[in-house]
Amino acid sequence: MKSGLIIAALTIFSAGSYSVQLSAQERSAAQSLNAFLSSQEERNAARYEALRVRNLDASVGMIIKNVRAGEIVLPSPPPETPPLVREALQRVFAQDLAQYALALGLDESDLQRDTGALRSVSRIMRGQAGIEDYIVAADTIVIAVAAGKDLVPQNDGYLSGHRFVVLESLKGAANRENKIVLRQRSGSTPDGLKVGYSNDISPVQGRKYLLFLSRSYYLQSSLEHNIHFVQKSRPGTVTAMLIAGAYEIHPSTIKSISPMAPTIDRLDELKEKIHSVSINRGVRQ
Amino acid sequence: MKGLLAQSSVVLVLALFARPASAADPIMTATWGTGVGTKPVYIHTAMPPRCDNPVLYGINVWNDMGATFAFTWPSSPITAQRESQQTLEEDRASITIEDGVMQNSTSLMESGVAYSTASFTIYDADTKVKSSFLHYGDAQTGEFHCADSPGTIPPADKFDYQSAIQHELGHALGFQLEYEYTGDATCIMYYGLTRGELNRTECAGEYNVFRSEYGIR
Repeated sequence: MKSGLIIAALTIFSAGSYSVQLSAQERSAAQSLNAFLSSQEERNAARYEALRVRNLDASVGMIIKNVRAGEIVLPSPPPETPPLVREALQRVFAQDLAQYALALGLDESDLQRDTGALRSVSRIMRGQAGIEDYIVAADTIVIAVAAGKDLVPQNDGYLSGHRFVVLESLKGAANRENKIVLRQRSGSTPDGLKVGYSNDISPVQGRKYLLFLSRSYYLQSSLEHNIHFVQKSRPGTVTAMLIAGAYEIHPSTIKSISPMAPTIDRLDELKEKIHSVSINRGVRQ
Repeated sequence: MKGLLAQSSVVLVLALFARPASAADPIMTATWGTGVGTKPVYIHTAMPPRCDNPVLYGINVWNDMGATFAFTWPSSPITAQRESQQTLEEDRASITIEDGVMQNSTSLMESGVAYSTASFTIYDADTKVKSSFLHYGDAQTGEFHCADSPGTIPPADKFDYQSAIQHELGHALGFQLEYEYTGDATCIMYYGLTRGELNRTECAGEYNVFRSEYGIR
């Protein structure tokens, strides 16, 4: 590999044609990995600071130790990756995984009781997760009916919210008839523009949804955006963000409205899985 | 009668250029406006180099549809500046593809698009690719398959990067800014992509909507 960035790009513009071609480009995978590591170290530092504010930082070291002791398969970059870069990638990964697990609300006792929980989080990070992993990651799973937009301004780094009324709680502290406020990043900005994020959902008022939510990650994410944010709780209202899938429930089908969410065919099977995950693996119900 | 004849001619001309489409086509929520023409695409240096070419292939799929708007590839397309480090002018002048953290853990990528709800004009668009999918795997591109040529098919256990990035470029054009498209699974703008799946060819609906909203060159 040549060092540095060697780019010779040809942009072809002929009448009626906007085809773009790159004739030669060479930059090394190690350069890209270094740039990622530098950014990820900054993200990890911001996450650690937010965990510290939440008093969840004490377990970070213990979990990292467990990750590195072989409980989790570490990333394995291509063989030509320099040893120092490989070592840095594995260190950053262990910290990222430990902090993500804590950000999701899994604490030290959860992870000691259920060694599979950390593997679930690892699979989620790597895009290899199944429905059982998302059951572990979500602290609130509900069937709820959409009740309109929530326009109460909040200083939490999010722009908009959608209100739901809980019909059935499948996991977590939400009770029937509690209100759920799903906070999202899409919404109107002070300068009058609207920002749309492609992964946000637009629930239709009156329709029934199955939601995999995280109250813990909402608080974590808010703190990472604005470290002085103080969560305002409203009685009977659970504020959370979507951590995994959202599904529209129809009389005969359950249709995912989130990209890449695992397929769920039947609610009774999902309920059994949630029950079995909480009983067999000790994860908090 | 004359008016009716003129109307019939328009219908005939449209019929010649439009492909048959289904009832529920992807929606174009906003556009960059008429006369904008082009928008350069930059790739952050933390993105794996093997995934640069699939971005080009994806750009060409949209550009080849013949609308007046086209993505361009700058002479130095690799940038060390993340969107958050750019000035407002720099941010709005280009589309940046960078790695980042997705809040919704099921997502591969996401695009953020700022637009006016009065004029439905886009001011800014950028795309993030889930960094843990890119870098925590067992190869250079993690869970993604970055094709060496437009015809290469992904292995059964990898997500096709070109298919996914093409979908995000569609958001950057203004498609589906409010919610994901769940209709015709053959469309680039369809919200799901499974491992080993290819979705690199536009459907008739998005072809027609793109050309109709931006005009034909």
